[in-house]
Formats: sequence, C-alpha cells, structure tokens
Amino acid sequence: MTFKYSLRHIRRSPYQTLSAVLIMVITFFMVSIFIMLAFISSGILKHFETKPQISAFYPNDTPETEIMEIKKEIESTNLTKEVRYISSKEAVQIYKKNSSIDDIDPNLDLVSDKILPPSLEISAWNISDLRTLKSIVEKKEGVKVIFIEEVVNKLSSWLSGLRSGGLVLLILLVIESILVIWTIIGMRISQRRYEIEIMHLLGATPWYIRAPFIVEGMLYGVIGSVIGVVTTVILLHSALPGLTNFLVGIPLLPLTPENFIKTIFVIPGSAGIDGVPLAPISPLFVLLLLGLEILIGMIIGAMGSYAAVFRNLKK
Amino acid sequence: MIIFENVSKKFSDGTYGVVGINLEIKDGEFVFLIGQSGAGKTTLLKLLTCQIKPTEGIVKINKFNITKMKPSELYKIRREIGIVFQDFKLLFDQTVYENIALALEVSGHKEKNFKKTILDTLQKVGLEGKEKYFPAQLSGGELQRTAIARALATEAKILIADEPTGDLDPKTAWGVLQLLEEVNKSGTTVVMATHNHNIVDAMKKRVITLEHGRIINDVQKGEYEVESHKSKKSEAIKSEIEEKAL
Repeated sequence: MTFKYSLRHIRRSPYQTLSAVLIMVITFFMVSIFIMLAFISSGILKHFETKPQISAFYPNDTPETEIMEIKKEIESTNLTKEVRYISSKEAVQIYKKNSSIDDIDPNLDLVSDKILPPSLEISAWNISDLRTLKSIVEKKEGVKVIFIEEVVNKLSSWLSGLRSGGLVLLILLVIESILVIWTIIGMRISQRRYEIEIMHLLGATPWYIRAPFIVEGMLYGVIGSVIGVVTTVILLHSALPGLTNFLVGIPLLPLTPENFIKTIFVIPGSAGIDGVPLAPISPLFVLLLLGLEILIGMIIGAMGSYAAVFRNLKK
Repeated sequence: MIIFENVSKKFSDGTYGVVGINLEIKDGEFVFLIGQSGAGKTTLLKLLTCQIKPTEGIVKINKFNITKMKPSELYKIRREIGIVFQDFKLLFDQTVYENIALALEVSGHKEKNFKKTILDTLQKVGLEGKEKYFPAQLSGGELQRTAIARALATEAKILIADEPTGDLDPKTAWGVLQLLEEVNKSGTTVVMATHNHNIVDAMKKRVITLEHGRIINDVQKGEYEVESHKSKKSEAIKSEIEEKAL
C-alpha cells in the first residue's frame, strides 16, 4: 500500500520526479566513473611500482665484493622490497635474451661482459624512501643511477589528486542529491497537506503517513543509480578500444568481480596487477557495481526524504 | 463515554478557547453544541478530535485519557471517532469509493472486506450507485452523506459533526439530520455543533449552550425550547422543514 501511494505521488508530479531522478543519475554517473577510475589508476600505478625503481650501474672494474657490501648496506635499511645484483655476465645473458632478433646472431661477441657494467636493481616498499636509497647507492664514485622516482611520484601525486578531487566532487554531489530530495519531498508534503490532515483525522498512524514519502525518496535513488551505472558501462564499453590503444604497453586491471571486491571492500588500490590488458567488462562486475550503487542510492534517498518528513511532519 | 473535567484551552496569543468545561456525554447520546461564532464550539470539537490538547483539565474518551497521550498515539482515539465537517473534507481527486476506502485503510481494516462495507454503507446513507462518482459530480447533500458514510464505514463509536448542515439548503439539511438520527439510534454517540436554533428545536435532543468559552446551559432531551423561550414555534418549524423536504 505504501509503495502504491509512492507511485501515485510520482505519477502526479512528473517534473519534480524528473528533476529528482536527473540529479541522482548525475551523482551515480560520477560515482561509477570514480570507481572505474580507481580501478584503472590502480593498474597504472602498480605497473610503474613493480618496475625496478633504482638501477645503479657500477664501473666494470668495481670488485663484486664492493658491490655486495653496498647491497648489504641497502638491505639493512629494511626499506627495500628487493635488491638484485646483476653481474656483467648476467647482463650479457639478459641482453642476448632480449635482443634475439631474427637477422642478428645473438651469439656474436659484439656485446661482452667488458662492455656491460655490473648493476644493482632496487625496488622500495615506499616510493618516498627512494631518495634515501639513492644516496647510499651513489657513495661509490663513477656509478650511474637511473632513477624513476620522479615519474612515479608525479604519477602518484596526479592520481592521488584525481582521487581526492573526485572524492570531494562525489561528497558534494551526494550532499546536493540529499538536499534536492529533501526539497522535492518537502514540496510533495506541502502539496499534500490537505490529504495528510484528513488522514490524521481518520486515524492514520504517523508511519502510515510518512512511509510513502520515504519510499518515494528511496525510489529516486534506485532509479538514478540504475540509469547512472548503465550509462557509465555503455560509455566505458564503447571507449574500451580507444583506451586500450592509448595506454599501450601499460597493463590495467580487468574489471572482474575479484578485483571489484578487492578494490571496494578491502583497501582501495590494493588489487594486484596480473598483466592482463583492460578486459571486457564482466557482467558480474556490473551487477556488483549496480548492487553497491543501488544500496548507496537507497541510503541517499532515505536520508533526503527522512529529513523532509522529519522537518515537515513533526506531529 | 466522553468526560471533560475542568478543561481550559489557552491559545498562544493569550486568548481562551474554552474555560473550565465540565461535561459528561454518555454512550449513545445525541448532543447539540450551540453558541454564536467564537463561543468555543469548534475548540471543544477540536479537543474531542485530538487536534489540540487542553492547557488545563482532563479529557477522557472511552478508555483513553487524551491529556496523557503522546501525539504518536492519538490515532488510537481517532479510530474510534468519525468526523463530519461543514466543508466535507473529502479528497476531490478520488471517487466516493476511494474516499471511504481511505478511511478504512488508514484505520487498519482488512482490504478484502472493503467492497462490501463501502457498498453497504453507501446504501445506508442513500448513495447507492454513486460509488464511482467524484466529489465534483455530487450535490452538497450528497457530499455530506459521503462524509457521513466515511465516518460510519469505520464503525466509529462516536460521530462528531461540525456544522454539517451549515452550507446546505433546509431540505438537504433535514435529510442529513435524519440520517444522523438514524446513526444515533443504531448506538453511535453523536455530538453536533450548530448555530441553527431551528434544527435544535426540531430535534428535541440534549443541548449544550456555549458562550465566551463557558457552558452556560446544558438541557436534556426536549427541554431546550422551554428553557430558551425562543422556540415556541418549533413544531411549526419542524413541520415546515419536513414539508420542504417532501
């Protein structure tokens, strides 16, 4: 019965309904974009973070023991995920493996261990520690350091800015949605004052009168979230080929249920990279996204309409 | 049973609606509240329908003490009271059937019994066949009958009527009064506010006269015309009304 009354309210004022639904669609479109962005940015960042962040090339005449001393010193800081020593001979092997082009014989001695220097490849737990590690590496004279701190830092700060900005935008949109629902339900209550007065006099319980307005607000949330998610998925699906070409060589997180759960429910950005390019969007992923946003929509709608009911129907 | 014990109602502007009202209305009584505009009739009815609370004294309706009840509990009393207003208070975008169904629904009746209850009640008030009509398609008398049907359908034990004949012509007004009398005969307590002395004279019921918020007169059945010395012609007026009704 409550649901029937809510639908009647919606039917009777289609323009108010349209404005309420539109604001919810915009909010949930942005929520969906933000969630997708969280996935994609996690993928990009992880790609760079998993690469060695410092490569230190020592002069060929540097004794291995000296480099191993430096390695030990770096490891003793406990700031590193991995410190790998690559001797000149290993470097040649890697070079040969990576340069096995059809028309060049990789066994030719054009590149020998006298040319390729020994090196240390260092990955840190935390990008902010790279500068400390770099200063240890540079103690040896003549060392050449390739350092990706700036790239990762810039990317990291760019993505963190994007996330923070997105989050602020989302919070503002959510507040705006609550206020719009509040206003529209408040107008509905004012329009139905006469009917409400009659219902009071006929012996309606307070909940009987309030419930249709709260359900109406929740319905706006549900409709808005469904349209918002569907629009985002359609847009992303059509943008997929272009996006994959644009980010060539950078593997992104596939939009799978596993990653969804890891990203949404555990720690944002914690989903592991698996080297798979941006995959076709899994239907289960869409369902999970839809379920989450419908829940958020219902909460936003209920908050807005409850505020209106509380303010306008105190008696 | 309705009991008022030393009831006063002071409004926010400092004026009193009613002052020191002591009153007892037994089950099944038919009581007229009369008095000029501003005498306190509407305040008394609003106290009865729990639209306002007294600032002093106690109001009891059946087993409920209104004074002690929370606003969220007042619906319990309202379900035992049927209200008929001068301006009908019907929903004009809903049919006669839907208006009565709303009353049944909000008072917690089962939907499967709606149709039978509504059609039976409409027959009782002489509106059979009008269930699909919208209020705009009905005459003043039919609108008031619809309002009475709405009050009766919920099997209210008390019927409160605020100037129900105020906007009606004498013939229609008499028809509405006869209907209220029938309702009363079936055991429902009827409390009706009016400023029409002719109606009061003709009906020969208990009459409570209010002035400046106080009860100045409370006379039992048939005594009103003797007390008032105004209604020597009451029988003649009654006959005249009945003639017009025919």
